[in-house]
Amino acid sequence: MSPLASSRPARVLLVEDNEADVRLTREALREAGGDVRLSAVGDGEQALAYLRREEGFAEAPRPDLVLLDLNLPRKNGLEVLDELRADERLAAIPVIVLTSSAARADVEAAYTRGANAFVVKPLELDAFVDLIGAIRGFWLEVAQLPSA
Amino acid sequence: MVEILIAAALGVLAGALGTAAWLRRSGSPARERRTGGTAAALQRAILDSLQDGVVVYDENERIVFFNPAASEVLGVSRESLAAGVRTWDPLDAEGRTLDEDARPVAITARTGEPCVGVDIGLRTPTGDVRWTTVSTRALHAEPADNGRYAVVVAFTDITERREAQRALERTNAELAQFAYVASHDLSEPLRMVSSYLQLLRRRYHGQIDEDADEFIDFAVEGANRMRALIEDLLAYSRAGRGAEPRPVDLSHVMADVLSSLAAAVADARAQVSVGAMPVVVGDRLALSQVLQNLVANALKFRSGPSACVWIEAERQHETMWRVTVADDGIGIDERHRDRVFKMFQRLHDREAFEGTGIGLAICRKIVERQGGEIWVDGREGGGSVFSFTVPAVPAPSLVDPATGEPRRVGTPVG
Repeated sequence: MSPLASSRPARVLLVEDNEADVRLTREALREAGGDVRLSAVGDGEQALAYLRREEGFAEAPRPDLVLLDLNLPRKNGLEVLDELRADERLAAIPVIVLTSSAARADVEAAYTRGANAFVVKPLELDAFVDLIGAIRGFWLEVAQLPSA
Repeated sequence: MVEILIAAALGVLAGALGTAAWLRRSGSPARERRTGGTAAALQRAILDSLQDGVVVYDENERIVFFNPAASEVLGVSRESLAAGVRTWDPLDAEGRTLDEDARPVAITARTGEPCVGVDIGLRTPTGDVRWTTVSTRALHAEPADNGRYAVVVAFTDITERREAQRALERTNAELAQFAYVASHDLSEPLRMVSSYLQLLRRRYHGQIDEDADEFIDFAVEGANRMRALIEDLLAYSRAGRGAEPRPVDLSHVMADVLSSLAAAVADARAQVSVGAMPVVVGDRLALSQVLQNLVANALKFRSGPSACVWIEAERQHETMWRVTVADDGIGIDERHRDRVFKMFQRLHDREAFEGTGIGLAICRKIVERQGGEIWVDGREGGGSVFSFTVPAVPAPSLVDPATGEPRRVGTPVG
């Protein structure tokens, strides 16, 4: 069974500026099944504010997992990773980079900054649903996570 | 060309300035016999009518002769040139100011050695640059008393050619960049279109009406096709941007290609025969892409349930190998044979044969980048013969790239 012991739904923060992509991830999660509560923010600054429960996000629960796009307005994904890993309250949260670029330099940079995985969004819907299902299965059911 | 110019210049000089002491040292008896007035006048006329500039310097680097084209190309009036005025700054091929000692004239004046076909920019006082190809030669076999040589300079104005070439390079680079950026940036919105269409189909198939199902299917198909085109555009813009050319054993490349096409070979119930393959010079990955595309086409465009494919290589001439991929397939009508190498050109509808029509365009780009040619002929008895040429290993290094041992060129696959 899930390390979360099914006591509550798993919480995922999606950092993604494209509304259509946010919705698609929601739909893929729905297709993949499982009880996951997905919150979404549209840029890097909001992501950090959410995680630090700053202005407007005072009630935000700490997520079990962050799905992070790299191409973000205001503060990009790599900068978010840097700040997250430098903040001792947030450093332990698993972060999966979920992006459309497979550029070698981005992959290296993301892992160097402490990303837990780097995943490229597939073009096929079926493949995307499978991917989201696999992420949910491994990170929210198989893996032991730090206490939220 | 420069040899003729220099010979003509010598003739004119001997005729017109024959009394100059420094010039007398030049002559072979034969040349002196040819320096009569008529010959000199003829040569003078030739030099006057030339578009190429010719200037002769004495051993003190004073101008002792120039033709009209020289004053035009250099942008200096004849009077000024005759008075030894030099208003231009020489630049190297990259546009940097050339050291005085590195000028072809200075090199030849110092060493007596010729310089051939050096690209030199001439920057005028207004900042304009005219580009020339310069050749220089010492006027005499021996240096003068001061240890320096008199020099004949011939130069051609290549400003327009160079500008056209630069513009072409820029355009090519921009096009490659455009294709890359366009396909990258198109991928994102297309992923949305295609994903949501698929989601529509997944959720609502059979729930609205038959028309709706059909419309969605057409839209999905269109999006899939667009994605294939974008991927091909990307592949084309990347093709041939590969590594430095090095020796590549085509027998190894062929073995790789056949193993990655194993499923297609089985599918086509194909008999593939591979002749002796040479070591050539090129980019291994790119060459395997070419062979893979050609063999895959031979398997795909078969005329019946099975296919025969023959891959062979023969020495074209000293510097090139010709590789042929022949098949007994459906063949290509003679009038379409050039068209098949163009981007996104297809001869068949999609029902008959799948594909976007990029494969042969990529082959052509790669082959031409490596200095070869690609073409197709009909095969006697039906089918096609695709041929491409690829540089051979220069003769002295006919050695096995792996062992360093001399190798027999044309080792069979295996």
